[in-house]
Amino acid sequence: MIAIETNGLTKQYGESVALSDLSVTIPTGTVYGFLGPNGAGKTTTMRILATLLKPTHGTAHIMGASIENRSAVAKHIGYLPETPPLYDELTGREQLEYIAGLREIPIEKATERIDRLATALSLIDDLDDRISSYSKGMKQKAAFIQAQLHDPAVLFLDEPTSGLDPRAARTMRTMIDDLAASGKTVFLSTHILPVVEEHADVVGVLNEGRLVAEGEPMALVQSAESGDKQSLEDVFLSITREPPGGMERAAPEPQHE
Amino acid sequence: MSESVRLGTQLGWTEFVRTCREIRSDTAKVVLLVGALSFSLLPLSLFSYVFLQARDEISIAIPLTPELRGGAVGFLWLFIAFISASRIAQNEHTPDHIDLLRSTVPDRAIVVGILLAETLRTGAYVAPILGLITIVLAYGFASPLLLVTIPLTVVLLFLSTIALGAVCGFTAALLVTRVRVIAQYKTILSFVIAIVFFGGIMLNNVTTLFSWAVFGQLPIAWLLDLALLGTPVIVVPSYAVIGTTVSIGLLLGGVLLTTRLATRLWSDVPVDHSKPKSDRSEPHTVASSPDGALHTARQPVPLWTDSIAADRIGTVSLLRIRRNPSLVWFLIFPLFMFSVFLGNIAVTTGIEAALQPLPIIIAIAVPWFLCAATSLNPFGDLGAVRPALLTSGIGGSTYLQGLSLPSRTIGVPVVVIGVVGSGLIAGHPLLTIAAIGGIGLVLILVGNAIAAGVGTVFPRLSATSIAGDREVVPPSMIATVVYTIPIVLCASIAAVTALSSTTVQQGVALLIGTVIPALLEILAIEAASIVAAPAPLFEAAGATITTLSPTSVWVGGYILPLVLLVVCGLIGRRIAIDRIDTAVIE
Repeated sequence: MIAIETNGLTKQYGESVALSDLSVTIPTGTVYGFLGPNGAGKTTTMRILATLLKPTHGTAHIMGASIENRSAVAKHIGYLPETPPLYDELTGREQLEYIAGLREIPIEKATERIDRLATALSLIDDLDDRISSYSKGMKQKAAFIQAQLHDPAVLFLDEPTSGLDPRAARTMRTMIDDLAASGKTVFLSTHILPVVEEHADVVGVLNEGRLVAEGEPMALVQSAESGDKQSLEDVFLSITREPPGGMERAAPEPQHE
Repeated sequence: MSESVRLGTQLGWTEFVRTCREIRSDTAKVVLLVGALSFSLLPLSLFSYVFLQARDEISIAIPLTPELRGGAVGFLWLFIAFISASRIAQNEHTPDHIDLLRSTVPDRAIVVGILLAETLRTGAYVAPILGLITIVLAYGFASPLLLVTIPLTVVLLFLSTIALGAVCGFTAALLVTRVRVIAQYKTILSFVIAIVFFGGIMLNNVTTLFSWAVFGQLPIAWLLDLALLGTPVIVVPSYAVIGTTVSIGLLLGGVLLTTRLATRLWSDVPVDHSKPKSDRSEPHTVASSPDGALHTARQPVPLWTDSIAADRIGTVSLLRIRRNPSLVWFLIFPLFMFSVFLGNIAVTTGIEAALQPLPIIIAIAVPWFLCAATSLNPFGDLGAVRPALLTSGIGGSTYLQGLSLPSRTIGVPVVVIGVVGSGLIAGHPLLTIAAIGGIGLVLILVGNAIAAGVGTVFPRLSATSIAGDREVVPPSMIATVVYTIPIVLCASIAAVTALSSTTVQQGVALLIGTVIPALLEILAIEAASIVAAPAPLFEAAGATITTLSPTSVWVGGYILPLVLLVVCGLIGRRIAIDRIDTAVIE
């Protein structure tokens, strides 16, 4: 089954093109690594797919539901934005109960899920503290739990390991693998390329709003191994490179697979 | 020290420029400031004209007395010190990026920057008025010296007073950082302090417990002698010297002391407001009650709804305000003005007269406050949580329902008890009390919808201040005004009708039957006679109004405004739901 399907997705702000003609098809159970330099349009894409932004042109469907229909899409998705969406005045548990309540999850079920996920991420002991006292990593953990409280089919994660210590980052990566193994689809945006290389089934590289490369990490590396390029990082730097002097970008060569 | 002053001047000027840019980006605030300034400058210009015309005929060769010094400078000194202490304690004690600043310049330079920025902000507000006064007096007394002494006096007064305010403000901020009880109740405490301060001034105005001459004994008040050097007013030159010396001493002492306090404040880790872990009796793996932690936290306030989502929205709205009362600080000032208004009535006409409008004020102010507190800036209140709410799939209707729950749960009993209690004490007839109570209940019913409708059309998504609590995003000024106008206008007309329908009848008849025709006649003289053509129609309408039956007056003066409020509520609800359902994050 197709989890995410976009067709000619474009977003313009006046003359400026943030996203241009994005067409991807992502089956369920896939971890899709979404890469690109700063300002490439990754967050714009995620917001459009999460129904938080309207595209200028094009269509997209999440689990068959059009992104025009927010309520239909909402039940299928969990979204972790770059800034953890939390209220400082609440405790972690209150925040998670709040979001579970918005999803109409009964309190018994919500409590079971909150405790299970918080235990897995070692946040359980801090759940009754105010979020204002949380570190950046703890906020990230709470927001990650919040995004999957309703067991969504598709998770949009924008820099999920940002601010996490190595142990928590590894736990989160393992959880992402487990989610994919259980049939969930994870749309993962990050700058940490080794994470994508290790965990993503498919990688899409966005540059200046255009999808300039897409494929399995190993296939991308092999297709680019014409010189000394041996890792996804090398491929990424190659296809998103700036010309010497950095005044203007080199025209990217589309490498759709 | 000189290096700190140089760096501090740069910092202060940068902070001041940031404030100016922030104000300039808010059109409503600019309009309000220009309006307030014009309101001050117009009568002052008139007074200046009269003064210049009559300056040869009035004797100004009077000696400065302690009363004059105390009233003109001493009281101002106290007032500015209080205001600057409040501002610094609440918002201005820690500039943005304090860690970067502290690792770059000495703490003393940062303190100098804070003081200078505050002085420039205060100075910017009074500069036009001060400029006019200075020019008029210098011209009137033919004394160019005043062009120097008056601005110098004001600069010394502001700098020394703000330095004193900074000492108090930083002390308060330090206490908030270190003492858990003060941190928990800081908003209530600051409200009490404000009531005591302004209440004390009001009380002193009425009872004259203390003469302003007391403040005239303070050397800082002797700066008035410096300001008026070179005028026919008889000043004491030695007082001018002492006043100048004391103000400079206060400034230097204030900077030194504030630097010590600031260093401690910026080096401290704030106390945690949440319950210490050792106090928790239950294991963390179990929610605090079968109904959940949120349900437990909102006790004892019940919220009645079938929707889990609406319940959670209402609960979180309530909890956030309870735990961070500064979220509703923007509403406190108008309520404070209501209190002052009542206080003034009480001291001028007696308690009984002050009780007369109390039921009306409760019926209007309570719903106005409660509905605005939760619903006047729905998008801004959500802050970073906006993506989570929008992607949760709940509709605007459920969100609005949730926001309305706290105001209805708290507002209905408060309005009923408050209006009935104050109405009975004031001696109003039962019918009048019921009618006023009805206004309050209608406002509670429609207030959230009006507030949310206005708040989604005129949202504010970021903090208004360049310093302080970025989590607090008050509604835009224009939203507050647009929300307040229909509520206060319609409810006031209905309330006055309930109190005295004859007054409303006579007032409207006078307006339509006499005032408007008279204005048309005047316009006809100035412009064209055709303008006066409708005047007889208005006169006839006015005459008809005087003959209306009491029932008709009640329908027009009471029922119609309430119907208008309901219509506003329905429109607001439609707008709010549409805006929330289609909201995007650019």
